Amino acid sequence: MVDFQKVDASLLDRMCSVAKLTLNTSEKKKFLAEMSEILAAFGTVEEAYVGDTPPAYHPTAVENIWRDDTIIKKSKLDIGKNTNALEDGYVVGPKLV
Amino acid sequence: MPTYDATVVTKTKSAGGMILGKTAQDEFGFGTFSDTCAYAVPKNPIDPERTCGGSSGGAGCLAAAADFPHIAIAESTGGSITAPAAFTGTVGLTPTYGRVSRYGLIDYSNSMDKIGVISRKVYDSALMLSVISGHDPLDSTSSRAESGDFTAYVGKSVKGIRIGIPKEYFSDVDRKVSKPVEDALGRLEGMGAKTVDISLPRTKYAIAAYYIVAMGEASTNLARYCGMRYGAQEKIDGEFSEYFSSIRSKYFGEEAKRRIILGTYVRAAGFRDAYYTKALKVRGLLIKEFKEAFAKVDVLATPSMPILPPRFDEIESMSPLDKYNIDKMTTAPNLCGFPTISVPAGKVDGLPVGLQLIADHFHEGELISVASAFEGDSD
Repeated sequence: MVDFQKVDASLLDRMCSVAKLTLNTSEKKKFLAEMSEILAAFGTVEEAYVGDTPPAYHPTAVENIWRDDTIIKKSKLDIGKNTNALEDGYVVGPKLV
Repeated sequence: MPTYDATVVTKTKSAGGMILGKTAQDEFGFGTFSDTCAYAVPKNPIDPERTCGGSSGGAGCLAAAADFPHIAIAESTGGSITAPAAFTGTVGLTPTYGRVSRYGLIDYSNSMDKIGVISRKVYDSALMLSVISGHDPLDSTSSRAESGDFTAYVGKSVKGIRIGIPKEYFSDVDRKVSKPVEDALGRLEGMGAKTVDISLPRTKYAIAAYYIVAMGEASTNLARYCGMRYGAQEKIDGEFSEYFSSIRSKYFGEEAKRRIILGTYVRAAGFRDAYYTKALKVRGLLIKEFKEAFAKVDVLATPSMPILPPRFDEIESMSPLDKYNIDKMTTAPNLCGFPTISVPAGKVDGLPVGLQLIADHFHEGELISVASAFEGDSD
């Protein structure tokens, strides 16, 4: 059984790191207190007997819909419409390494 | 300005409609009271000290307040059409999952998001659903179920219609809300409908299962908010992780951060089976339970919301969990993809109360028939 209520600062830091969020001190204090309460409430699902019921990833039967793979020609200018960081027709991103 | 139109916008324009503008909503749909809007908080036209409901609160506000012919397009993931409709005294139609294309909609929880309608009258909602529904190859979850003219269901007799009353949806409800809903059911019986007592015991898991799935999906859907291709942008500074984190930390609101962190947690290694996968199994059980009920009745009836529209100062004193628990009427049908309609059931202390009707997948017609008959009797 998972200890649903055990959320400490290091676990919160780990989740923030994965989620790419940096919290300030007051946010951390607030979220830490709230998370324990919310996750304890989420623990209600543990009480449900599900037997061999498969997970319902969608509420209705969903079939993959495939379209013809048609090439749409776009200029580099079109592609760059959604970014401010366009340089010589290329989208500039932050350094990875 | 968006660089392309959503399918619902394209269809509305093609049918001769005019898009007047965008309405306020809780940030990414994360709210029940429209108190977490990024730009402005819509106020209830009936009492500006009270909420319009959320997350599609601006749509509800417009539908209630505008004095010209209009229909509002709205979105629901866990009740975001029903809440504003109930709190503003309007009609809110949430279609079956997949009935309306979501192409152009920003994903919150992609296994639950639905585009629907808020309007003054049932006929208007039926008309708009006729326009915006139908299969769309641009949305991989769009259903091929037959659509058609939903206005044909308006004005149909309810004689012989079986209305299920699930007892779990009438407990822990403000008596000021449940009384008018019970009166409404009495009036429908007077029109020839038959009420049937129903029990949906697994409803007690619905709020938790809904929020686990919703937050889990939101956390991954909002990974796209990276400060480059989507969302706010700034001058790129530092390495990838620093820039990505700084943009997200600066521009996400508090509720968005809360849901992303909790969503990350419930899908993390070590917790995923206990929370996320278990919630998906609970969804399967809930669907089965509702389907068994729909073998006995045509629609289910509940209060739309368990409370009257609260004042903003009352909302401020609520914890996040208190707010999540207000969604007790709407999480199960939304988690399970069932269509719902909220129709005004009267007023108490000058404040509106909504009657929620729930039908089996792709049975919006029954909802429209019952809602329009009730509305006609109320006019």
